[in-house]
Amino acid sequence: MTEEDVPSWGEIARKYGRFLYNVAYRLTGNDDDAQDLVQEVLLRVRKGLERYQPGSMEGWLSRITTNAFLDDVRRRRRRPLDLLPEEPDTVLPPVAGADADFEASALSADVQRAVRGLPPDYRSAVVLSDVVGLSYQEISDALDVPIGTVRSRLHRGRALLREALR
Amino acid sequence: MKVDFGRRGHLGDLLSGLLDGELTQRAVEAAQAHLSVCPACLHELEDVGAARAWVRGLPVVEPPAGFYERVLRDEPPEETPVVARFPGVGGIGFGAPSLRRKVLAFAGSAAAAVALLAVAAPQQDPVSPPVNRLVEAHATGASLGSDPLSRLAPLGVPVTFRK
Amino acid sequence: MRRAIAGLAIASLAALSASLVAAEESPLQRAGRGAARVNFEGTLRIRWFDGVTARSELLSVRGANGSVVVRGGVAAMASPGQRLVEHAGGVWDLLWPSDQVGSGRPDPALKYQIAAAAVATVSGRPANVIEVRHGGALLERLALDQASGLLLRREQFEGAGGEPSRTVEFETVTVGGATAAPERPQTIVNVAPEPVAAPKAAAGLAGGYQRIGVYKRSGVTQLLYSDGLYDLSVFQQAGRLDRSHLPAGADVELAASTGVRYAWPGGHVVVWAASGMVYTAVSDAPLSQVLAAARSLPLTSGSPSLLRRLRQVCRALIQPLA
Repeated sequence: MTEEDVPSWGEIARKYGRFLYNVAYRLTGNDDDAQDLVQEVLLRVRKGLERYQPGSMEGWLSRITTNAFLDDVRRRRRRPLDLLPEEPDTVLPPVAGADADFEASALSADVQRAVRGLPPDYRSAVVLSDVVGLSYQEISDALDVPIGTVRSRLHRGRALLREALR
Repeated sequence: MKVDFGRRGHLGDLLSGLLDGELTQRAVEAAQAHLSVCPACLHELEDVGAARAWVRGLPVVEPPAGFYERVLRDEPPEETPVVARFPGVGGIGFGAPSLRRKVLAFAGSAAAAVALLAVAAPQQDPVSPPVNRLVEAHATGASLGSDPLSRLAPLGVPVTFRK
Repeated sequence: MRRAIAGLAIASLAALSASLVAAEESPLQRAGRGAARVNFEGTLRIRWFDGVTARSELLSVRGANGSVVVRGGVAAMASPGQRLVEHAGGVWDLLWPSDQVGSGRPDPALKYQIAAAAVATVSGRPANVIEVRHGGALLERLALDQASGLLLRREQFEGAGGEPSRTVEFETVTVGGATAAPERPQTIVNVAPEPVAAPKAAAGLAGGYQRIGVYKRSGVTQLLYSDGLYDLSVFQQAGRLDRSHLPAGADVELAASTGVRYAWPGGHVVVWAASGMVYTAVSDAPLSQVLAAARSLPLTSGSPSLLRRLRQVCRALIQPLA
């Protein structure tokens, strides 16, 4: 493996910043926590870069992001007096009628709110599968759980989403 | 892979495996055989497929203004690039001072050119076609007086345009 | 005896072939009548190429009493007099309020060669297979259920490889029997278009596409064209194309600009801009036909030419000084 194969920290931050923000936003459900999570992820990237084996950068970054997210969840659980997470961003009411706009912003906000309402383990599986697009094997590697567990968490998460969005 | 029909003889999380293309061929055949006789599982397939598609249909969110500046504040100095290439908000902030002056000078003349074009070309509203909705409008119209299955079925797969 | 049976089979195929051509309707229109006549239920597999990888999705489908509903993550419904799409929460968008579109489609036999091929067993049922060719090249292979006329499989061919580029087929299907009719939607949002008169809109596009309707919906004009087999919509919006919020697609050259194209499970989309107008073409026709039609669209000038604007500006500056 040559030095050229491994991108620099700055290259990762520029090229994957938007990707990281999206994964973080879908996991945390709000902008401030998402930015904090991205900062934490990039800190871990800096420390872990020398161990990175060229392959799926998005898979590697997803693993770091999810682990950082779950670490933070566990940390918050141990300190119940921490401030509650901030409310998700403002939702626009849906527009109905003959002049209905084609924008899907209201639906997206509902879906995002439902994702945020999932237990963290189910939420991670759903985000890694349906936002990032990882395979079950990749999710299994990222979460360090068997593939059967990936499938059951994903299925249960989707079932809960469907209930929440009825 | 042994096909375990789980609780009460239903497919359970195998439905998600089926939707995601993560089952072996034998498991797929067994699942399909079950679906042909089990309305409950068919209904659950619809439900889970819906949830999957909603999440897949979530739009890409743009990081807020100042995000890249905050993130790249921690960049080690030896990695500072000669040319800044990230998206334009508050864009010019890196690079050697002489390069910055040259970039600003170019921006000045470019701005003059843009001003001239603005006089010559009236501003038009930016339009970003709602591709998903236009596809729906077309496909449903094309199904009128025609086959609904092959024309409507593609709409059951929400278009995400993800890589 | 065998020769007699073979002769009978060939005669049946010939009669079927002749009946298709003489009917002045496409086999897809025949299939539509089959779907409206019979009860059925099953799972549909769609396969397509999204420009990067081969994709496959499984949907559930049910039809009874003339209504058909297809469900994946999104549900789409065809019922007598309506076309609806549901995204979430039981709210359905009513996109079309009638069964008929525009002035009717042209005769597909004017452009295509439509002929019966061998009978086959598809989705476990005997099916009549129909092939549609253009200039000798196979474009469509359709398998219609012999008993009911229901479309069991549609294969579309675009490349030279011989493999279908897009397929919709039943993986499991039960035809006839007591299928519950799709539930009537409780909440409907009316986004039906209004037909508009647009005498300046092109009456035809390259490839034999005739204009069969013009509609307006939420500020977007839809020109609907058909060649008898494929429909092709060209959506128009005044303005300049903002690419920053468009999904990533493949660049494609059109007459006066570079557009972007996408593959979706049901066909192709091309987006481009010219003369102050943003165009979006959508069709299940082969990409070569969509591009040829798009390139032949006469451009409606949404704003005066740059030269005329410069002259106007100069005149405005000079006149007060004269």
